[in-house]
Formats: sequence, structure tokens, C-alpha cells
Amino acid sequence: MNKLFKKIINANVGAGRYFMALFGLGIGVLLILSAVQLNYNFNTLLLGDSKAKNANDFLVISKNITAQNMLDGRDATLFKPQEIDSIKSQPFTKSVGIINGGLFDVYGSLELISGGGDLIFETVDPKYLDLNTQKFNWDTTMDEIPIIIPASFLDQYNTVFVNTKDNLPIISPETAMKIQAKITIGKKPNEKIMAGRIVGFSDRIQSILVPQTFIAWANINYATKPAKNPSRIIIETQDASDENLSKYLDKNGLVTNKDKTRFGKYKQIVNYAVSTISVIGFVLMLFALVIFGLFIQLVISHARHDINLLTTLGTTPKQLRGFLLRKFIPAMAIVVAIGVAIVWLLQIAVAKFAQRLMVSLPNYLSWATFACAIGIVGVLFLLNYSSIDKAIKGTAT
Amino acid sequence: MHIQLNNIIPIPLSNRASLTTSNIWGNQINFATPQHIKIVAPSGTGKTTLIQSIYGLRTDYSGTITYNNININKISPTNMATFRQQKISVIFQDLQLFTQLTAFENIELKRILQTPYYQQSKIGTMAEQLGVSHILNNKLATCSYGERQRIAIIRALIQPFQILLMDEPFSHIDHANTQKAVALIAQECAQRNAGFVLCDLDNDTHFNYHTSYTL
Repeated sequence: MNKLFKKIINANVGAGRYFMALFGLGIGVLLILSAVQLNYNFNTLLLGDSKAKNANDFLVISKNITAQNMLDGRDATLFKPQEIDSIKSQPFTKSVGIINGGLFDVYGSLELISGGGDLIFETVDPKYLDLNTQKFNWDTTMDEIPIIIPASFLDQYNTVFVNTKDNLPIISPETAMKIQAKITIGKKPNEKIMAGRIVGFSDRIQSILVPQTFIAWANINYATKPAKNPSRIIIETQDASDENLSKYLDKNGLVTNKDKTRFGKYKQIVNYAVSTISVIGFVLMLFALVIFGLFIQLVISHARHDINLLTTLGTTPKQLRGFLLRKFIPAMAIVVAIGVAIVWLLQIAVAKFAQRLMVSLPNYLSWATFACAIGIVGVLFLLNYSSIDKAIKGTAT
Repeated sequence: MHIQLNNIIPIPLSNRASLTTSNIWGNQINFATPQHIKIVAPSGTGKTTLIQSIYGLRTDYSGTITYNNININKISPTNMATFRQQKISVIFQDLQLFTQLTAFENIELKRILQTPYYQQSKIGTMAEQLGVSHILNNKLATCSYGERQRIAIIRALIQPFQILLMDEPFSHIDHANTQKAVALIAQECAQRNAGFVLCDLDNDTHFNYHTSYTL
């Protein structure tokens, strides 16, 4: 029957417009699929690892010191409670930990290096630490304070400080953890001499950390300074490269480890590029669809007499629609398939190029790209269905 | 299958004097399977208007036409197509054939529009009976009007139907070929136990009519 319908309804009318529309559709599809694949590649390159491991990132946040807020004095570095609440309420924040300082004086000395100095003890909820040690506990029955120091301190000592004096020994992390330090807290006459021992090294927090229970106890018994707001907080976030996080930090004059949020800025740039390509692709596709709509109307209006006669003889709207859809949809589906094939070839080429740069990218397309292609075919089908339906109803006189 | 005309008056003919003498217009008429109905319709009395109205091609009339008690103006396009595929067939006065198709293709299209009632070979058999087998593969445009009229008759008979509407079906066919066409139509109606409504200019004795009307 379709063979006869084909002879009756001559769709060769306006072939130039038809191929122009197909070409426009092809370019639009190519751009949209490329944008989706580009986004996927970027995520694979920069975010794939952290997402794959489902690990959360922890960012230590402090206030950016500028010439402007220097004038505000020390308070400019402190977080007000409402500022902390605002950070907590952001979608990228999973939780917020406060790095609290002790309110007491601390002096520490080491016999091994025959020296000592004033220290500042701080504390944070252990869930924000990047090491897991059972030894980081303290209660009032213990004379020895467990301490976590920044890993960079030991590096600084071994690479810089050790050269400033003769006979200073190089200290390995294992040795450092065996050395007992003499810790004096409080101020005469209310002071207490205790022992301290390093139980771990943190890459995340650049503070000398002691357990929360010790700070609480010492603050009550040996406080020499008034309480104040924290100057550093730690954010637990699912994705440190979230561009909204970078934007929020910039907007509120906050700083953190740039390495971690740099990806957020890259992502922002890529997102702009992807959005631009998508919009251009979308507009092109829209134009192509308008031309298709006009083309379908042209074919149907050209064949109006014959379509009327077919209807008169008893052709159902479904039979007519089926024929016309079969006439237009396969060509569009082929164009989308060609678009997928080209993007795939480009992906293989990009993966090969990336390999030369020691960067690993898959040489296959993402499921999102395929889903997008299927979605485009679905949309094309629906739009064509609706145009054909309208046109058929228009001929029924 | 039952067709009822309830006080039909075509708007274009509403001021014609002939309406008063008609026993179709403005009356309640029933056509039921397997009745053979003849409607004698002198020129200008609305013969084609009647056939087209009954077939659902025009709605410019007052009154109602029903198929099996359903107002045909309320039948959906899909259901109307089903009626035309299964229940009602028609031979138009102006034939309504596709000139870009061959004679064979015109008939074949109607055969396969629904589940075929006959095998494809039946087209050849019927064409043989009506003396048009030699033009089956010719484009309609190259056939004479008489040949086309016979093709239109075969097309109407190749599908299933319960009522056959005919509008001057033999107007361009000679007497001998008319007799052949009459025989074929009678045979096909009998086989289906179908009725027909034949509109023509004059009285005739082609068929044994159960009822005759004057338009």
C-alpha cells in the first residue's frame, strides 16, 4: 500500500528545502551531541575520580585578608555565627566543622632539640581529620596530651630548620611520634605542666590539634583569654570542584586550598562553552524543524487533492499518518545516527590525542550522549507527528 | 447495514420547485441491506448531491442522515473510514480515480486498503468480465472515459460492502458492456447479500428493484 501511496503523494516537491533542512538538523544535532560529550569528558577528567570513590572533600575555609579589611583589625578574620549558618545552608555543604582555639597559654619544649616556644592548641571534631587514630583521645586521668601536627611542620623542620643549628637531628615521622614534649598550660601561678606526644600528621589542617575534651577542660581551668569566634572552619562537601562553591567563596571573600576549587573554575568555563554550543545547536535544530514543518505542509498541500481522494475512498487518518511519518522520520533518524557516528569518531580521535598527553579518556560515547540522541529522535517524532496530524486534519474538507 | 434519511433538504437546492415533487427530499427514507433501490433523478434534481451526502462527503443540508442509527456527522474520521472500507462502497459519477496510477493500481489500492476481500487475481477476472483486461497496466490518463468507468465499477466491487451507492454508473458504457457490468454488480451484491442505491436519469430494467423513488 505504501508503494501506491508513494506514487500518489509526490514528496519530491521542494527537495532543495528538504535537504537544506536535513543539513541544518545534522549540524544542530552534531553540536548538541558534541556539547554533551564534551561535558562528559570534562567530568571524567577532572571530577571522575572523586565521584567514583564517592568520597567527600574537606575544605578549610578562612577569610581573605585584603587591604580593605586589614583596617578592621583582627575581627576581620573571624566568622560570625550568621556567616557560618549561611555556609551551612548552601547546597554544596554537607556539614561544617569549627576549628576552635584554646583560651589558654601554651608553651612547649623538646629536650631533643634543646628548645621550645609558645604554641597555640586548636581542636576540631575528629570526623574532619584526614587520619584515623585511636590515640587521639584524652580524659582528665591522662597526663599525656595526644597532639596532631601539620605534616608540613615536620617537612619544614627536616628541610629548613635542621640546617639553622649545628647538631640538630633529622627526625622521621615514626621517631617524632616517640618523642615526648614538655607542655606547660596556663599562666603562673595557675599553670600545669603536662606531657605531650605527637599521634599523627595532618595534611588537611595547618594547626596543632588536640582532642576536644582537652580543650574544653583546659579552657575551664586555665583560660587566660576571652572566648572569640573561630577564624577557620572546615566544610565537608561532595564536590570541591562545584562551581557554585567557588562562586560563593569569591563572593563572600573567603579563601581555601586553591588546588581543590580550581576545577570548579574550569568547570565554570567549560559550562559556559557547553551552554553556548548547546544553544547554537538548539537554535539550528529549531530552524531545521521549522523548515521541516513548512516542508511537510508544502508536501501535503501539494497533494491535497489526492489526500482528499484517499480519504474519500476510506483511507484512515492512521494509514495516512503512518505513510507520511515513514516518509520523513527515517531520514531524520539517519541524520541523528550520522551525528552520533561523527561524535564517536571525534571522541576516538580526542582519546588518542589525550593518550599522547598521558591523559586517559574513554574512546566510547557516554550514555548521556546516546540518551540525548534518542531524545532528539523522540522529539523529532513527536513534532512530525503533530505537524502531519494537523496537516491531515487541514485537508479533511 | 441500515441508512436513514430524515427530512434531508440540501441547502443549495432549498429554493427549487422540484423539491416539492420529490419523494426523497424532505422525507424519511430507509435503505436497508439487501434492498435494491432505484432513484430516478432528472438533471438538476440533486442526484450527485444525494449520493455525496449519503456517503458523508458533504454536510450542506438540513435534516440528518444516519448509518445504523448513528448521525454520520458525529462519526469520527477513523470510524467513517472503517465504514467506507467495510460497509459502504461507491461508484461516483465523476469516477474519482487516480490518473497518476495505472488502472490495475487504482483497483489494487482499494483492495488492500483493508483486509482484502478478494485475492489479487480477482482483479484480472473482473477486468476480463468487463472487457478491460487489456488496459489494466495502462496509466488512467491514457484510458477512455468508458474504460475508466468500468475500472471504477471494478474498484467498487473489489472491497467488502453491505450497501453499494451508484451515481449514473453506466453513463459512458455501451449497451453490451452495460449488461456485463449489471451482471457483475448483481453477482457481487448477491454474494455479499448486499443492497444498493442506484441513481440515474431515467427508469431502467437493469436490476429487479425493490423500491423506486423520484428525486
